[in-house]
Amino acid sequence: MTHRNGTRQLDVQALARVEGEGALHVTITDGELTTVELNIYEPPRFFEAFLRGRSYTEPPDITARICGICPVAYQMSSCLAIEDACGVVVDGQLAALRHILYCGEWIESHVLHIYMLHAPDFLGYAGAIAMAQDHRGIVERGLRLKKLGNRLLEVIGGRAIHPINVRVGGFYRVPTVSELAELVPELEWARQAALDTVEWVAGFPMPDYEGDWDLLALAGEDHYPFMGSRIGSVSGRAQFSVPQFSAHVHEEHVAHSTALHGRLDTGEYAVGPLARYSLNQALLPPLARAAAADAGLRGECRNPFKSIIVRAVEVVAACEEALRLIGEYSPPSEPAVPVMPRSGVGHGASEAPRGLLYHRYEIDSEGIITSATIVPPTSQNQRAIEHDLAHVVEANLDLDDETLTARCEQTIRNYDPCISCSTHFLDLRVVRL
Amino acid sequence: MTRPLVIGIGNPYRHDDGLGPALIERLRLAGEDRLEIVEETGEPAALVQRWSGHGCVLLVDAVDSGGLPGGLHRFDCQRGSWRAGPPPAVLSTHGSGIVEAVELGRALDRLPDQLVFFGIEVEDTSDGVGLSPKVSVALDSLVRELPGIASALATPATRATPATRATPLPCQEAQS
Repeated sequence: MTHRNGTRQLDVQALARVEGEGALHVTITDGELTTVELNIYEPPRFFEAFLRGRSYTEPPDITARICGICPVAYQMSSCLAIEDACGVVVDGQLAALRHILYCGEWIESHVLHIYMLHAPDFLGYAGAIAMAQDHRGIVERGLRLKKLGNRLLEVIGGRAIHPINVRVGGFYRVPTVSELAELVPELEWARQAALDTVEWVAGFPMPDYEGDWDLLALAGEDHYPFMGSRIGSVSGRAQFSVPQFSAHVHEEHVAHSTALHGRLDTGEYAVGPLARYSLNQALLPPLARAAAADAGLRGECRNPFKSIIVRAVEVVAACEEALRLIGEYSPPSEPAVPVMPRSGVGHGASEAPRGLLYHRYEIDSEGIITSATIVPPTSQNQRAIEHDLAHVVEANLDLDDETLTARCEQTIRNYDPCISCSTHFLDLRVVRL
Repeated sequence: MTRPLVIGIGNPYRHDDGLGPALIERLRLAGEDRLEIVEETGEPAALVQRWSGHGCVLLVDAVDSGGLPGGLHRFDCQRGSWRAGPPPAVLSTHGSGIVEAVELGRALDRLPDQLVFFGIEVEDTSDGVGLSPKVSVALDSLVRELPGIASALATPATRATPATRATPLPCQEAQS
């Protein structure tokens, strides 16, 4: 913190409780906010370049390495894109297994963020360890829920981090009925624990703020969307199919970030739980929908601080969906459908825990990837995060630097930013001049 | 009675940072059956859940404290105190590891009776696979000694022996 010639500077060099490394720089001059920059300084990771020249079968394994928290999202979006390029649709029980695997990722990622990263903000703790000293039973519940999410990844994906059992066309091995049935008792416990989680976070003090940008997500058809073919926005201005993504969402470089910023042609936007919920709440499974209503969520939710409630509701939904799909499961005759290479372009999109994740691949007739484009949710959310921060700082200029800094960090964590994903990117600096 | 649990932590694609997984592989190849051996990434919640219910746990990971490559550190996590390193509350998920796991375990009353950390000083943590010669030799030595150390730790009469030999470390581990 420095006060110099009417300048106020708040400086946090490394943002805490986020996935990866980044920073925020805020400058306030003569009581007016002049600069808000979310600095993503984690080095570029060049995954799109790595993929060029590789076989069409490799993206699920290569792109899973982009993130240890949400590898399934990368695997699913890449598989969908390659299969689209090759003219193959994976459906039936193989699609159901992908859905259960994705439920596991939502559970482990959302629970990690709710319990270990975000809840301490609302309850006034420096971190999860301090919170655990006062709320041992609650943190134990979170650890057990997270373990279940990891277990789903292990059983279907082969291991909890960077799953190895996913391939273009399906899986290398599919689980037996009994292997999935063994998960049911813990999933039934988890469903209730998730409901308890919704009740817990719904009681947190919520800052009164609503964003005015659009919210973009997959538009579900029969079920709350994990993977899909249609994209919609809450305003209704953006409605397009996944292959049209690049025509509507443009990426651009800014000097203070190694992650490209996403821009929607119809205006500012954000992706993530608020978008998914606001667009698809009618498709939530019954218990999750009832829990959302009990928590005070209505048709749209534009308060980013309430994203923690929506995440908890989505954990309920993931448990319900996993139980439903396991109950209907019968092993497919083959673990994967054949996918033969052909020259073409494919597009795939799925809902990573942090929001819409788009992949596009161009492959030649031999199945060699000639171009790859990956647009992660955190890249798309950078502008919205900076927008929120500007509003939060302007509305709270009377707060002392320490309190304002904490509020800024909480604001950033509303988006559960995955910096490593976005660089394919946190440190907070507020300058009051 | 449960066997002593050995947890090897590290990233095999960053040369010497992969000594934890390499230890697990060498113990398996040696047919070691007196120990339960597992590999972990170092993620705190997973570590706490992994060691819960075990009485004697040995953690093995790479250390970069500026010491001579191959140097061995030993630290009693249950009874020692951290000398340095950023406080757990200010770390991103990529900077959290053994310190946070131990403190989370302590807050939840989930620390094993015996929780000892063994660290080997690294020489090369650049991209790539395989250990540097000095680290590999040191790891071989630890592989030979670990069963005996675990047996001694698991035996109540020998626990009075001070378990800390090296200076407490600012153990930091990155999750990829």
